[in-house]
Amino acid sequence: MIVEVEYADLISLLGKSVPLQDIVNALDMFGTPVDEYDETTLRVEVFPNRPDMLGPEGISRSLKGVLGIETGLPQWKMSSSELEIDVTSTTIRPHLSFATVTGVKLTESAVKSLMQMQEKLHIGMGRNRAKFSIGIYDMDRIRFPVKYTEMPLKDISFMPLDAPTGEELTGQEVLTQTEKGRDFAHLLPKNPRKAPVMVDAMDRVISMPPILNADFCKVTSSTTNLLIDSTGTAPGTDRMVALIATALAERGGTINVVMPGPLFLPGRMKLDMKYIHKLTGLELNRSEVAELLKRMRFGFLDEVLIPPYRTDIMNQIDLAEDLAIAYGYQNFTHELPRMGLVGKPLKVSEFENTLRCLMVGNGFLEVKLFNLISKVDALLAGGAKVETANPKSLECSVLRPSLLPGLFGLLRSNKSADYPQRIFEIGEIFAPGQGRCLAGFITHAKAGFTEVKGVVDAIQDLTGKTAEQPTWKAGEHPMFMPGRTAISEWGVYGELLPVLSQKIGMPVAGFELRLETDL
Amino acid sequence: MHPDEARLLTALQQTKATPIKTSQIATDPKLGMNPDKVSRTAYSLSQKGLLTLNKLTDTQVSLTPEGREVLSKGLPEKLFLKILPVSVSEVPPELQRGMGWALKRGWAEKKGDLLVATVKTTPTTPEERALKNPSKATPAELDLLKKRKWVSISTTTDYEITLTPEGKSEKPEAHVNQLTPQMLLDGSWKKQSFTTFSPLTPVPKQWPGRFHPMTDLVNRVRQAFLSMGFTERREPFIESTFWDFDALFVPQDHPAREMQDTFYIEGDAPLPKDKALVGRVADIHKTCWGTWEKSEAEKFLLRTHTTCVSARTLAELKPPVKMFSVDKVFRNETLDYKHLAEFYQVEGIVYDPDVNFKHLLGYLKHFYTLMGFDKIRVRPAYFPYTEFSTEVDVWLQDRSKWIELGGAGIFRPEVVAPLTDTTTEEACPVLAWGLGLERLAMLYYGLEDIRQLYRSDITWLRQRREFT
Repeated sequence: MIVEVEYADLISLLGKSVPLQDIVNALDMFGTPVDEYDETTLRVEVFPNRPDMLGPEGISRSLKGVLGIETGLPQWKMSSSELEIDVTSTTIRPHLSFATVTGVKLTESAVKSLMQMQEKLHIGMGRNRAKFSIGIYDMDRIRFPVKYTEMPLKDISFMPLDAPTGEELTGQEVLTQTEKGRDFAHLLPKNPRKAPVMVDAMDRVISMPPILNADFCKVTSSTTNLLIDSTGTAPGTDRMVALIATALAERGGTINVVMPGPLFLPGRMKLDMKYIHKLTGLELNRSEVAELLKRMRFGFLDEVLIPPYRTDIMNQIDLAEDLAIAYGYQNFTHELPRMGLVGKPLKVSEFENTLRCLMVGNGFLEVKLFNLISKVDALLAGGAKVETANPKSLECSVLRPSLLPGLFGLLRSNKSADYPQRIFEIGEIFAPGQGRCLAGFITHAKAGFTEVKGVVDAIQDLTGKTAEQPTWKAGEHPMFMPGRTAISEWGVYGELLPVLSQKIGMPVAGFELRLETDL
Repeated sequence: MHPDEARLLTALQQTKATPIKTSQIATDPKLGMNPDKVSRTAYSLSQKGLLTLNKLTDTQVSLTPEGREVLSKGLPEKLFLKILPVSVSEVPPELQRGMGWALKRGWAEKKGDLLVATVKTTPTTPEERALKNPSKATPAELDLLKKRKWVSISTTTDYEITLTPEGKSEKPEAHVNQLTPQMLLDGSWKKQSFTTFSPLTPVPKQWPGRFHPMTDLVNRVRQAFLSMGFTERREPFIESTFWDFDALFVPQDHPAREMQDTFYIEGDAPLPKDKALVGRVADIHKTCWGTWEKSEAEKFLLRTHTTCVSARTLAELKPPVKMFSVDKVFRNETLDYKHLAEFYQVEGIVYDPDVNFKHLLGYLKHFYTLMGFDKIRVRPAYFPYTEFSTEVDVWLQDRSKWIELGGAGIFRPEVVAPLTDTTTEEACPVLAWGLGLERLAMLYYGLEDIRQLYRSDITWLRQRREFT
């Protein structure tokens, strides 16, 4: 996912002026490469393993570590909150977590970044809000205790964010009259029509997850105290809340623990020095390892302390990779292990190359076409036997039942190339099982049965097929001329139907032979 | 000299007439050439400076059958005057045209239904004068006759041949163009002299049969890995979600599995017969991702990567293993200049208890050296099934920039453990990569549009340079 961050905002979060190019280089070698940048804005690519870096706060936190500005476990002002949340059980989105962050100084740019992070989390970890969604509110506008419950849509009434008319809407109207309502209505139960809601002490709806929040408590650049919630259909809402709260804390806020909600305690993992050595090949002592891990913002006592926003650390290998990133991939030497193994080619690959040499020696040009063709083209060879369920384009929608329709199409699009034309392809067919074939066409003013029979005979003789004696006999094929078609269990050859060669404007002869299919 | 040239030169040297016209010498039965051939042969002799040609153009006028009839019977309009007065409806068909001309010239007029003469005598017209002596007619008069289709005019071109002093002294010696089996059998080649050929003269193009550029590249990659001790493997394109995703620890709700990116195929894909293997994969998903449904693992698809070939290899073989595969993978994409719906992937794994990250870099470096690139770098990246995950870049000296050619890493213990029946703590390191090939081909062949590789433009395939 691409995250946009402002260079000025990044510098103010870093607390130190760092040249733009140094930041770009550091991010490229951190695993969050810079896609594009200019003097004011960087577009950073963030992969799903680092959702904490979906904003300038998390990016600056990581940069502080690798640039040596601040290392070790991030320290935030922590407190516990006495806010009360009254949870009535709800079956629609039964998992929920909260936290508050107080005393934050927001700017327009910070609000924009916060919204960006919320949206990216919705799409990624939130699986388009189906799994998790997040709400962020100006908590000073809300009267506590807040109640989480569910209500029939018709009984819900509030003015949502970005309300089209600036008036209160019912829950039903929110789903039909707002963009977000239309996009996410499918996440609510159809019958009965109800939705989870968060209501404050004055009975005002503050949000209808996972659709929209109320307008009256929205976050602006003058907001200083924020309430964060996450609701979901699976465990893990605490991680979503922790990601947002720890990002805000980078702007100087105090994190207040609310129940239910994350405790913001670091995770703990024993460090297996031998494993780190084995996997990285680096001979590092304990203090060197500690130093590298601290640059990645881990704490290190007798165990590794994992910051609560790191949702991706599952075992030792994750620590080893972070350590290697801190060490710098560019600083590793390139080595080859001692392994006494002999490389073996596949017989089928070698055989196909032998056939290619034979064909090329016979003056044939090799072509390579797609396995996916259109349904209409497949009809030429009797129709497709395997279709894809969801093609994006009709041109690539079915697997070819034969190589011949594609090769015929190729002749049609190459009428301006010099004649004679002799082409062949070795490739897969699906009829319906996957098999391999050698097929080709000859086209020039005197192309015909005799020439193509000569070609097939040569392949047959030179590949030792004669011993097996495929019994060629006069036969029928949807693309070849009756009376000038030979078939056997090995395949087909003959003269193309005049109704088809008419489209080329030249006589055409061709063949298709099945190859041994064992890979 | 060509035999025709020798014959014509002999005839010219023998005739007394000089200059002589081509039409004239063509009548010589000994020469046996029609005027056209004489002209062509004379032209090639003139190119050699043996004679000069003077072009003569002759115009001949001849009367058409209609013209001869007018000459003998008189002008149609004069014939018409003789039957006046007459009513319009009674003019005989053969005098209809004469009536038109008589009215046009003002020699007759219409009075009611009756046509009457307005003149008593008529003058001799230019047409009549010209018809009597067409060769003396002025161009304007000829034009009149041509319009009334009484004459036909034709031009003939002839050449006057004059031998140059060189032409007079040149010995007409016939050379043979094609050596024939007959000459070789009867030994007559000994007495023949042969036409000489210039290497500067263009000849018809030859188009040798050739491998497709991607075949060349695939073979080059195969050679590289075989030389490094890797064993080749290929698997069918139609794969189950179990091998393509589940076995690689891709969560069942991962966006990459959604319909829009992957070609699914109807039907239920069989799970591996090894129930314990399926159980171990299911368990690791349940432990780490919270959920695993059998039905999600039983779908058919066109494999999205060849990493599933690596997964199958891990489940089958014991270390040490070095395996590679160069084969097609599929993405449900709309085709454009940099996207294809099917393309090659260069897959490779090294499965051995003693390998580490430095060896991954070593193999990648060695491979790209064999492919013609001196400098590579890896950058941290992310794939669900590797940890160490890296992007692999190669340095383009001539463009002074890095270009990304693929992904590589070390398989996660959560991938290796269930497939090899170990615990995640004891899982063996497996180095792995999935590199692109079309992008490399674009660099080799200087292409800007990736589709060019599979458009199978015969002219391009015939003319593309061999990559050395």
